[in-house]
Amino acid sequence: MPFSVTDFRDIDLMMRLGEEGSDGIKAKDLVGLLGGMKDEDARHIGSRLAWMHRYGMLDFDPKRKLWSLSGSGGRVVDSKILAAQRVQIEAVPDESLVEVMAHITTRFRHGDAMTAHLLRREFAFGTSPKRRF
Amino acid sequence: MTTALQQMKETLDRVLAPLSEQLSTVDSEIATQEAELKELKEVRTQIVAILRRIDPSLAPTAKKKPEGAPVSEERVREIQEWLLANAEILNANGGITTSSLRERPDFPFSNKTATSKALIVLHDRGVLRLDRIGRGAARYYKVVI
Repeated sequence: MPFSVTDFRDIDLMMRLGEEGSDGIKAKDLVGLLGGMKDEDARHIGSRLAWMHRYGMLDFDPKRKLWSLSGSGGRVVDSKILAAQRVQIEAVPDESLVEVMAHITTRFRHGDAMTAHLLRREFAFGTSPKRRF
Repeated sequence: MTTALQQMKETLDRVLAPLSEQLSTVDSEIATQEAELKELKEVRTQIVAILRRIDPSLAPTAKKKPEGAPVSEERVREIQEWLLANAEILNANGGITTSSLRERPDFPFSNKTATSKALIVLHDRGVLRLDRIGRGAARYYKVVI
């Protein structure tokens, strides 16, 4: 069962954790919800969550071994693009995308670290050979 | 054995003896040539490996899988609109897969490949989120509301 950034986007896992509420969830319980069945799946998801915690997307309670959304992670989950904004983004012509990318990379360099990690991992997800069809 | 038969056998032996010897010689020559060919192939493999290290353009390129036609933007938009209109019911039923959508009588699109590709595009765009992976690697998505 793969739990890499090329299968589940960070935002997929963050939304899933958001559904579980602020108390959080244990990795072994989360892996069941995501469809994992093998022992190694729990290790994989544990590793993935640990990285997301290191990047500031998640909080971890070491005593109760519970994973939950961090404050900034929660804000990312709540910041759904409005329909009007989505229309604007989709209307950007291909020729102008380089300029848009320049804006994104500027924010990547100068924005907060968690957002930078999310952007980098989102790029890895979107450009993975696995995503081509 | 009569004398005539004896003579015939001796004649035959005389004819066969050099042929057998010739066959042994040919077999031996084939074995030698095969050994040389094997050695030459090994040397060739080594030379090609060295050349490819020096010039990567000589490395064989992986054959690309033939790609099917991409799903049209219009179809993606239609499926997106349908999913958003039915989001709450779909999410309450545990999410969607390509197969579960096609089993729904109210889902208006019958092309499985196009639907499957549209779901991938909509996941990429954040309209859907991957909720879980089911048996047989079926991907269950939920509509982001």
